Amino acid sequence: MEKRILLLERFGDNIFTRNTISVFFEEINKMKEAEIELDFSSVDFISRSCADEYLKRKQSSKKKILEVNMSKEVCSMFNVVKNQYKKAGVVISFDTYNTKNKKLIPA
Amino acid sequence: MIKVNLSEGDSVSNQVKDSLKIISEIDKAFDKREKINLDLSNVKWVLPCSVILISGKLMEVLSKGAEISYISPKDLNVKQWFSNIGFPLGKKSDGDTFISIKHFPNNPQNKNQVNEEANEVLQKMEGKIPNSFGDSIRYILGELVANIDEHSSFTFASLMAQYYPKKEHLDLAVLDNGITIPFNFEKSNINFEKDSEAIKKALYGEITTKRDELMRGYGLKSCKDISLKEVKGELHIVSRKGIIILKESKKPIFYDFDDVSLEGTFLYFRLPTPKKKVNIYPYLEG
Repeated sequence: MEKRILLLERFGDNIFTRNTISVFFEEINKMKEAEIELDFSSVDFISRSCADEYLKRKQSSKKKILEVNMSKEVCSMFNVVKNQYKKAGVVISFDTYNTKNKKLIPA
Repeated sequence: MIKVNLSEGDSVSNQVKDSLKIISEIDKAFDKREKINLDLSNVKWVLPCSVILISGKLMEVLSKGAEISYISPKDLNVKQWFSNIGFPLGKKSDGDTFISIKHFPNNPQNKNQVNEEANEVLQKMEGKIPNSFGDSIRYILGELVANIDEHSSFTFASLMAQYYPKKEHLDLAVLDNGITIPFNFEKSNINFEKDSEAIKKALYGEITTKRDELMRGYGLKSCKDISLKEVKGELHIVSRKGIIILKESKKPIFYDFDDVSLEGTFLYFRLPTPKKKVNIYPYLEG
């Protein structure tokens, strides 16, 4: 069973603080659904620290989490963090999706 | 009576120093449980840095039960501007070129609070500053409020922004009254000699208080790089006795105040309007 969450309603246009992400993932982890689709529609920006927290929380979550409708800017920030981990020798698996057709965009 | 004398002209450093002296007077009066009377009558020119520093302190002592009164500026333009921006208590409405003072007390029950406050400010800024700033303001404000949220244990924080269309620059001020950068370092057993040295270490990403965690400690450094290298602006940071002044293509100035200090952290950006749209991403890879 899949649940879809519209992030705009939860966070607003911009996601800035680690706390918001960590609290959000605690809630996600308690949900009964095994698959969660996070809809980034109209989220204009995510801070670098939030993108970092997001990736870490997603990595440790047992849920299958799929991101959809991510803007170019939000995508870029996730890629910045992913590349920083890569430079430090840490592999983070995070695939950015083109959400309309749910196809993977190569990082 | 506390006489408010602020240097005329556009020098942020001068007005920051003047404001810290006034804050010190406010603290002294509050410690003696005296009524705080501010005489603003001689103020002829005020920058947002002074407005945020002084009004932030007033909000803090007010919340602790202080009684405050003030004499308005004689200069009608200054008087009008104070009224427009909501000095000292803040205001809901904004002008065409400024975001009124926004003070917010910490609400530990709401983990989204800082995110919500920053979103509100950014929404209000839309249409007030040129598009050529790109994501730079969003990024800088985001990192600063994230620092407040994560590190400062603040009880009050304040934000303000003013765009000067004729001078073509944006002044952005962020203040919190929480744990200072030097104190944060002391707590983490990180050695430094002067408070300004602690700020320098935080600013240059030489060290973060969360040493064990990869990817932390980029915030201030990337804000510095974007504001100086990409936007060609200036940055002032005051935390406890330390101050740092950074200007594009000028030698950084670091020193400790002898006679004043700020129980909190204050960041002030002066950002000239970029000629072409700012791209922040090359500055984030660290």
